[in-house]
Amino acid sequence: MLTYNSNIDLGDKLKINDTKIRIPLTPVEVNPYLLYHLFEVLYPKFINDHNNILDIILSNDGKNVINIYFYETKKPGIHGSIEKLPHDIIKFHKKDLEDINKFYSRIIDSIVKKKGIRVSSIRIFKEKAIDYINQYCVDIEDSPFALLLSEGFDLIQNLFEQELLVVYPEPHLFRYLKELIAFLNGRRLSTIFRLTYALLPEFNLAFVFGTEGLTVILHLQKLIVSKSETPYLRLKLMVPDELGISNEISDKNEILRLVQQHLQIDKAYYLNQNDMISLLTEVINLPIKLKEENLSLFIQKILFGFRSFENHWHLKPRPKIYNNLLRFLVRLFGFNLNLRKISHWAVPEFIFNIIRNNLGLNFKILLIISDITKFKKLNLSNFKYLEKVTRYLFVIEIENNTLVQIHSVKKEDLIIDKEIESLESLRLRFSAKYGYLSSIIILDKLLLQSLIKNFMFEHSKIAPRSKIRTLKMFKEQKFFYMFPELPPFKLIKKKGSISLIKLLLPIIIDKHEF
Amino acid sequence: MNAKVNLENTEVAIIKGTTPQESVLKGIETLGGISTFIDEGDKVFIKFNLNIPGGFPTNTNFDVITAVVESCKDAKAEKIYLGSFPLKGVSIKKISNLLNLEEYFSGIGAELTYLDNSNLYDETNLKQDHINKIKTDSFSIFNNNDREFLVPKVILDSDKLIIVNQINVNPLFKINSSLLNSSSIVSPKYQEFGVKITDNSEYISLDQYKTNSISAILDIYAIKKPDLVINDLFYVLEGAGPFIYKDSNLKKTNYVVIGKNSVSVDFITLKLLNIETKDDDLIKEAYKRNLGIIDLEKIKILGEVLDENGINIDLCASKLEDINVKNYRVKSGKYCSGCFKFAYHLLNFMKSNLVKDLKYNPNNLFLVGQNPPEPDYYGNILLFGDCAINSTKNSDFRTIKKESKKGNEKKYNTKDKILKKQKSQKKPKNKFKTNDKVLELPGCPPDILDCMTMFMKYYGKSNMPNLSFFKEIIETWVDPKDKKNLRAMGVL
Repeated sequence: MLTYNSNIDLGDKLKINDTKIRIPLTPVEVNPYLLYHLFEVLYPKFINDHNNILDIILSNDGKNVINIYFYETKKPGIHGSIEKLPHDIIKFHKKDLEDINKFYSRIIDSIVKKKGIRVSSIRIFKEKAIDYINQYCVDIEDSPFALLLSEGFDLIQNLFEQELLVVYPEPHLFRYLKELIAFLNGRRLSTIFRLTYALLPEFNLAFVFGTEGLTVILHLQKLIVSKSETPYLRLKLMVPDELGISNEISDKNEILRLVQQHLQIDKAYYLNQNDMISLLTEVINLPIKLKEENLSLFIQKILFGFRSFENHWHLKPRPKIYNNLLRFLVRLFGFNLNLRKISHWAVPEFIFNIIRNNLGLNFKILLIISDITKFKKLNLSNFKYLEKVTRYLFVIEIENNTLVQIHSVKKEDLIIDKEIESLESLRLRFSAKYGYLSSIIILDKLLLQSLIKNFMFEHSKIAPRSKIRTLKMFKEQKFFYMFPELPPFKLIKKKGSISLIKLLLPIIIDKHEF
Repeated sequence: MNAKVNLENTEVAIIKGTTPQESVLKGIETLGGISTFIDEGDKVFIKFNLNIPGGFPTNTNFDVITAVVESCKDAKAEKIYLGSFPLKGVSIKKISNLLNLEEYFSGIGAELTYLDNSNLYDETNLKQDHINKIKTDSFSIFNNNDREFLVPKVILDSDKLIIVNQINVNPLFKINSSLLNSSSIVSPKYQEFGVKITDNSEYISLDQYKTNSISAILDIYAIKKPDLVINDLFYVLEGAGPFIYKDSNLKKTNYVVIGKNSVSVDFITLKLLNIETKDDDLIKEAYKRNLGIIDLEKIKILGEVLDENGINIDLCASKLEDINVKNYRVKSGKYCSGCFKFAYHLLNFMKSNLVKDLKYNPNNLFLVGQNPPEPDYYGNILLFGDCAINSTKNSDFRTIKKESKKGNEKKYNTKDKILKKQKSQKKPKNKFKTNDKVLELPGCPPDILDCMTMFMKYYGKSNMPNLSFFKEIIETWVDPKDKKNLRAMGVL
């Protein structure tokens, strides 16, 4: 990578050759120029937008400097050369880590005096961090990608939890990860990843990230070989030339058609690279203790992006829902399904109003994630069955519309009194420990999977039957239950799925076509 | 009942803590411990805020209630009742079912009392004589200041009364004081403060609604004075309240104010919140009636020092024009506190929940009060309340002048035009048509749920998608059958 970076002339046009290099810390091999481009674009946005980096390796006790490496960068993010510097080039005291700002100023002065170069960022690793990284990299090329991702999350968590890595000036991404890990309070990022991964359906997708510079194609595939085996995750990054797609083609739909044809995929999305970077920047700038207003604004932006089909994003095959004639016919039956008119400006507020009106501004809820797939016969007459089917329990605490804490609860704490049919005994027990529980929500994995499949992966597919089936699951106790039955849940239970859709669609979709 | 207040020994504790329940318990300890208030074997009634099936702070913090119940249990109270009358038209049973309160309270060792007897409404054949018997068994008629109140016997018969009051801002009284809270020991029918009209002409100028309200609150308070008053301002709902609206914000103050007398506790609470007490008519009138002390020198403050602990909160909008509702302009004439209060809630409800509906229906003018200013444009005109309706009967906006061209629209064919000269040019006829873009929302003051129904009818369901949804949600807890039974029971 360093050889490639040092040889490339800035402003060089893309030179595609057969050479492939591995993205650091991943088994993914890509064209060197693609990696150059990714670093050029992403590093300044997420890590540091200045030149020259100094890596300092410390002993685990933080007393001694083991190694110092100086990376010269031609451009922010483009590491051109590496030079090992003598240990004594800087004097280090253990207390320096307590006042990193002062230490950083001293380093800058020292390196300028002794080497005549200016360093804009320092990365301090403890020896143990290098051990963790090396351990993670063992057999990296042979490990299943999903497992590697999970181990990657563990690595990040270990580095931050044990304070093995310090970067100064601290990037927003690091601040975000540190806050996230602190918020998780011992819960593993890898567990959350595995839980989320298990909820995703089988998919074979490509995302084309277009830009005036270099268009990047991401091929993502989740293959379920058999029920007993872990689904296989495949990720490939490439540039259009590698698929024989000429750079001259500017028609986005044509690019998508060719990508679909070459990669044999179900769906190909065309997204703007800059939009995606802005979105990611937006995410890492969000406070971890999410406030309603931040989340509302973020959802608004996502919905605005979603409604801008064929403006901000493209999809191949083009969903039938965007066919005006079909939409007109659907409207004749009383359903206005104009996804280009999603009320991005009104939907988040509507959702938060329902929460505020029914749960209040301060509340705690017990969320039970169940998995009934392994249990064919369940006695739903009381809630004793929850002891068997519960997989995860969380107490979510909201204060003044802000998420303040998520407490993990042990499954063993979920003991349901056989005689009591309602969940009140459970609420009382948990209320005594965590404070008054406004609600207990039971959500089954099957419902979550169905929601993700039918409303996220097939967001633009009309498929009324599967969508109604998913909505009907909210009425079945084994998939979804809310205790006590608050007014919105009562309404869902009372209303038929079609009339519920008819009630909600005018809220979700704008009335006016133009 | 009606025991004279011990004006020489009014202690109020101001406590700052880390959790509301901890602060309340610390406050009780500061005042001498729970045994100072509760004796062994006492029947205790805890009056709390229970308005609608919503969450905190619309209703009291249930963690605080649990802490108080536990405390009463420690004092070996024989029975602990909990209760309150909710908003007009809402039955306690409905709220209890939706929040599962009966079971929850039973689990912590207390009993939710159905003050409106709504637990009996499910009985199919509730005949009049049966209803009468229930009424006689459960209510006592109480006369105070020439007013008649139907008071639940369970409250009158309890040995001790505790008020656990959540402090939220209030459009009429600045904050929801414990005095105001105590008024819902009787049903909304008896809290209808504005009905005692003395003189129509002076009703608005003297703000008789507010005067009557204050009088009714204090009359009710005097029926059964509390033994312990807890003003929970650990979290204060500021900006807009006492329900959760768009402009509402929950401010964490970490304080509770506890004492034996509502007037003193409310007075200190107002002081703590840096709210001017000199203009507070409720507190002043309570003092006049000798219901409590409002002299800082005579109130013994325990716990935190008052002068060092002032908190500023945003109060409710004091003028209806200050509530900015999209596509609505508010113009008001002279209005009483009744119309102000209900219009305040209606406008805030619209602002909070009808975002889409407001965008779909532009150019609205909301006229309220007597003789509101003549509108300068004719979009949709909403007349809120009888005063606005009656005083604008002859206003210009009621009719639309249409210049009819029919008078001189005699059709001439080309031949006529050439051969005949028009003999005389007729003046255009002016036609006056009733302006059908006027929506009257009658009532003194109008009922908000009725207003919603009229909105739906006027603007059309397709133009009110959010209201259609929220109306269905509200219908899960406002049931016409319940209303009928509440009426039969004499509480509505």
